[in-house]
Amino acid sequence: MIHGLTLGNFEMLGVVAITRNTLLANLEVKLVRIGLICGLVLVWVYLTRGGIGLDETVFGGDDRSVDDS
Amino acid sequence: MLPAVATLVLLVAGLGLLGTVLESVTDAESGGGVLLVLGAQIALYALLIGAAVWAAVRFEHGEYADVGLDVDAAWGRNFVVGTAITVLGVSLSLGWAQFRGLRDVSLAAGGVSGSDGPLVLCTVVVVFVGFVLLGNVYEEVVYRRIMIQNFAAGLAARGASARGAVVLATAASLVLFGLYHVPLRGNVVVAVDAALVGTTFALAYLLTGDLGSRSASTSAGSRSR
Repeated sequence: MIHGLTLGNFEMLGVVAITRNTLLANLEVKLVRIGLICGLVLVWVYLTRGGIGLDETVFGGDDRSVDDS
Repeated sequence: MLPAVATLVLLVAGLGLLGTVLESVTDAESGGGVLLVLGAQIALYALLIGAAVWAAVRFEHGEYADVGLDVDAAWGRNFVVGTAITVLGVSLSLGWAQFRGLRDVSLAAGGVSGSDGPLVLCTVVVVFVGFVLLGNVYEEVVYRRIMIQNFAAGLAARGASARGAVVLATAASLVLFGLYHVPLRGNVVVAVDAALVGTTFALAYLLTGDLGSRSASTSAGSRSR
């Protein structure tokens, strides 16, 4: 909702105005945001788990039966 | 793939049907009409989550508890931290964008215009719960939990290493996550944008195995593109 949203006759006014709407500018903002969030996630996982690695509940390499459809 | 395709068809068809039905029975520009539309869409997303979870349990021959929608203290902690991380990441990136002259951030310009203040507040709450949280829980269940886990297991069963299987599964899920946004938001640029943003959700999922941080990240980040 940062850029604003209109619902019927209500409008959530945005706090961010795009002053340079080019592919490179938008990509820069996007990549900075993704990099920051990924970095913070890595820090959080490291602090809480003592290391960074694949969680075993995601994929433990077991022989769980899976339908490939 | 089947849960994703089936629920996407349900979503597109459901949104189309809702639009047609609600347009004929209510004034979509009124406050009540807006709430009715949002409420109907929340119900649709709840239905989609139910369908996706059912499909996952059925095809994996697993149990409902395995899908990752159980809420406990650890989930709550990850949800709060995920929200904080995403808000911090978005804020810092906006600060960078303002510093670089790419965005103009003005908190004073924010707000809500329109009549019926309490109704506006109620609408905002419904929007948050419906679009942002519930809608994104659906995306996380299908495109992270179901896809990555099953794609990885399928690739491993065909001889891929665990690491290679997870990397390929994640890449495939991100591509499909991007394509999922095309019929909803209209163009390929949105697909690339969604796939890029999806990397943060995928990373949080791969490292924590928890829906909490991913749903929070999605909720806090997805509407601030």
